[in-house]
Amino acid sequence: MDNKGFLGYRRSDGQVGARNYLGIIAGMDNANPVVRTLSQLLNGSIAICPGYGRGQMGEDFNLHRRSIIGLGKNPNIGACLVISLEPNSANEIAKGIKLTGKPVATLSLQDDGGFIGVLEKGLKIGQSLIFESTAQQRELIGFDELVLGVECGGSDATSGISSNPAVGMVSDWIVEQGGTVIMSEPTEWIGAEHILMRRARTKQIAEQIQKCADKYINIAKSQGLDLLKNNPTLDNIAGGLSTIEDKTLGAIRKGGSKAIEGLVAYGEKPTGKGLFLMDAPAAAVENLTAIAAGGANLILFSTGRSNPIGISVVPTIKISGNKKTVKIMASDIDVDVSGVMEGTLGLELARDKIMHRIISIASGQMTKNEILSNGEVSISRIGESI
Amino acid sequence: MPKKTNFVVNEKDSVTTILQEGLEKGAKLEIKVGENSEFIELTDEVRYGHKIAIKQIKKGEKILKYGLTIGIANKDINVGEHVHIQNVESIRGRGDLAKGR
Repeated sequence: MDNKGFLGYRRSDGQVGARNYLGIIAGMDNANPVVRTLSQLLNGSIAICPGYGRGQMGEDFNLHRRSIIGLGKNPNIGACLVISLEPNSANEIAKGIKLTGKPVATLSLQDDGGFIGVLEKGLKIGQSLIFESTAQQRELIGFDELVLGVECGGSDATSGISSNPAVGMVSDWIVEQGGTVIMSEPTEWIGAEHILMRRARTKQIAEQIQKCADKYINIAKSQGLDLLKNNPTLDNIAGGLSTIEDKTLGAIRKGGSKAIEGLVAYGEKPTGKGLFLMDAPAAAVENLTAIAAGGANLILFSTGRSNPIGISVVPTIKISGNKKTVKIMASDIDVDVSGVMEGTLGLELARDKIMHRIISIASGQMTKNEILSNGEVSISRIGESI
Repeated sequence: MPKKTNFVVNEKDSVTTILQEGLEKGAKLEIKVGENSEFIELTDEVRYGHKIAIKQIKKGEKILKYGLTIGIANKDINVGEHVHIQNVESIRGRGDLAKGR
C-alpha cells in the first residue's frame, strides 16, 4: 500500500487539517440563526450550532463548554468567529480555542447591535479571516498525523463481518504508521468489554473500561430498564443477532486489534498516539460531535442499513458491506465493501479500498454527505438547565 | 463465481451466517473454512443474517463466532440447525449465573 501520506494543512500547534474552514460558532442557541445566516453568505465557512449553552451548570456545563471549544480547536478549522448573546461567553470560548494559535474573533448580539449588527460586522470579519486563512496551501502529511474516528451506525448482519472488520484493519494499519484512532459508543462494548480490557495498556485503563461500561448499564437501570435484557433489540434479533456478545463482538471489530492506550471523556482529546476509547453515546450526531471535539481530522462510519448523516467539521466517510444499501442509498455511501460478503473482495483489499478513499478525501475530495451539506452538530446533555 | 450463500468468520467458529434469502429446510449449502469445503444440509428454514451450526454443539458448550464466544448452547444443537435465541444463551451480564461477570 502507498504509505506516503495525504495532502493536509499543517497548523501552528502541530495538528493537521483535512479541511480549512472558517468555523462560525454559536456559543449559545440564541445565536444559531445569525450564525447560519452568516455562514450561508460566507463561502468557505461552516456554521457550528451545537444548541443549548444558556443556563447550563456543573458537569453538564463543563461538557458543553469543553466540546464547543474542542470543535473550534479541531484542525479542520483554520480560523474561528465565535458569536454569543453576551461577550463573556464568547470570550471564554475564544480563549480556549486561541490556545491552538489560530485566529479567533468574537461578536455578541448584546454589544454588537443585535442580529443585523452582528451580521454586518460578521460579514466583514468573516471575509477577512477567510481571505487570510485560505492563503495556506496543502502539504504532504504522513499517516502518523492522522487522527481517525471510527463509528458504526444502522448496523445489521453485514456490519460485524464486512464493514466493521475492514474498518478495523484500517484502524490497525493507521496505528502501525504511528497515527491515532478514536473508538467510542460504550454501550456497544457491553458484552465485549472483557476483550477490550485484555487489550488495555495498563490495569488502570482496563478498570476505566469496566467502569465506563457499567455506567451505561446503571443509567439504564436508573430508568427502570435492563439494558442487557433489551439488548440485542428486537430488530437485532429479527436480523439474526442472538446475544449481546454476538452484537458487540461485531461492533468492536471496527477498532481493530491494537493495544488500548487510554480512555478519554466526551469531546476530550486523546493524550497520545495509538488506539483510544472515548466515553460518548452511540447516537450518531452526538457521537460524531464528541469525536470531532476530540480532534479527529477524519471519521470512518461503518453502516449496514445506513444512516446518511455526517458532521460539517470532519469529513465522514460512509462504508457499507450491504449490497442492497450500497445500491438504494448510493448517494450516501462513499465506499462499497459488499464484495466481502460476496466472497469477491478479501478484507485486505477492502482495507486498501478504504485507505485509497481516505487519502483522497483527506486531501480534498468531498464526501457524499459534505456535498449535500448533510452534517449536524449536537453536544450530549448530562443534566438539566435552570 | 457462484454467489456466496453463507459466511464463516473465523476458522474456529461453530456457526456460519446465512447470506441468502428464502433458504428452505433441506437446502444444501457449501461451507468454506479456510481451504476446506464441505456440504451441510439445513434442518430448518433459515433467514438472511441468521446462523446455523456447522459443528455438532453439545448442551453447555460455547458457541464460537469471530473465533470468540457469543454464548452457550442450552440444548444439543445438530449440524445444519438454526442457532438463535431458542438454543443460545448469553453468558455476559447474567446476575443469575455465578461466573457471569
